[in-house]
Parts: sequence; structure tokens; C-alpha cells
Amino acid sequence: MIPNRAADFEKFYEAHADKVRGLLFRLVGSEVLSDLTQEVFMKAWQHRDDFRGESHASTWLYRVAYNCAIDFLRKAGERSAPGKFWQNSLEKEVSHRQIVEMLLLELSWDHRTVVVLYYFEERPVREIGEILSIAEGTVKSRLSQARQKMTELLKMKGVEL
Amino acid sequence: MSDDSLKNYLRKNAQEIPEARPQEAVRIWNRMQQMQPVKSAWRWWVSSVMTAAAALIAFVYLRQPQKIESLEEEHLYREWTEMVQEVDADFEQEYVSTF
Repeated sequence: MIPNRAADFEKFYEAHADKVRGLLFRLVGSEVLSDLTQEVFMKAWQHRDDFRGESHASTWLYRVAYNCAIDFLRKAGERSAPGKFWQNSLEKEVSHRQIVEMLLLELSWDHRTVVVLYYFEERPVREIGEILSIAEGTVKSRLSQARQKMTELLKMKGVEL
Repeated sequence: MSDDSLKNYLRKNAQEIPEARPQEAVRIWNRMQQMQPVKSAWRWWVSSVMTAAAALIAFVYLRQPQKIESLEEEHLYREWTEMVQEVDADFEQEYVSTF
């Protein structure tokens, strides 16, 4: 499943890069996106023997990407500080795009991760549990709490869905 | 608010993911290849040091008991000789007093 030649690696990268980049971008932003993407694929390559095919390669890669993002944020000391982004935004000036961006920043790290994986990456609850090494029930409860928080914030901005 | 409408709203208004640099896969592959000689040189160095350390430990460890062993053997032999001499002496005395 995991390749061992340059051409195969390229195929492997092309098949999974969008998923990995998508998750990393929504979790850590664009500044370190390229560096972290490189790190994820290098780690995946170095530890390819650990992948035993018990789950999909994409699930395993999401897991590696998530761990890289966590490591980066730990080192940088950049866990989200909910509250500040929403309060600093002016009511009328923000576009829907900015609102979505702020919604994600307003969520705690745990909630943001499940929201990104569920709504943006469209992964099923079971797979999210595998990626984050948590129970399905925990995924569901985090999703429910995050949804509640996002609904409240959207109401504050006058967004009706 | 339904879950689908929230999902549609988030996806529709999400920031677009920046384009990857061209030839990103090739760049990553080359980087991994560059790192390999460093890694194997490091592995070679570590394994050499560990082998030398193991050989040294084995040499020291095996040398010590041999010394002790030979000392013990010598001591036991001396004790045995003394005991035999004592027994022989007792026996001779007993033999003399009997006859």
C-alpha cells in the first residue's frame, strides 16, 4: 500500500495531499502548511512499516497529520484562545468567509479538530474516532457541543440557516 | 438549524486551501533522499560505538570471574590437601594406638 520508489511516492502524494493539506490548513493555517505537509509525508514514509493496513491509508495519514499539527502547536505554544477573535470583529464588516474563519478560531482545539474532520473533510464519526484515538461517543459529544457553540455565534452575527 | 445547512454554510464559505508548490512531491522525495546518507552514517556510528562498548564490557566481565575462579580452586585444593593430611595423621595415630 505504501510505496517504495520515487514514482510511487509521487502517486501516493497526489492521492492524499489534498486531504492532508486540507486538515493542516484548517488546524494550523497557511504559514507553516508546506513545511508541515512535508513533515507528514516524510514521517509517513519513514514509518511506512508501522502501517499494517488495519485502516485506510488516508485514515493513517490523517492521524500522522493531526499528530504533526499538535506537535507544532505545542512547540509554538499556539493553542486557540476562544473569545478574542469574535469580540474583536466588528458586526457589519465581516463577510461570511470571515465568519467561518472566526467560527473555527473560536472553537477549542478539540472541537475544531472534529468539526474540520466532520464538516470539511467529510469523514464519518467512526473514522474520526480512529484518527484521534477517541471513542465514537466522544466524537459525537464534541460535535454536538461545537455545533451548539457555532449556532450561538452565528445567531450573534445574524446568520440564519 | 439543520446539520446539513450548517455543513453547506461552512463548506460554501470556507477559505480555499492554498495551492501546493509545483513539484512538491519531487521536492519531498529529494529531501528524504538527502537525509538518508546522514541517517545511515549516524546509524553506522552508533552501531560501531555500541559494538565496541559491548566488546569491552564482555572482555572485562569475562576476565574477572576467571581470576576469582582460579583463586577459589586454589583455595579449595589447599583446604582439601590440609583435610587429607589431617585425616591421614588421625588414622596413623589411631593405627599406632590400636597395635
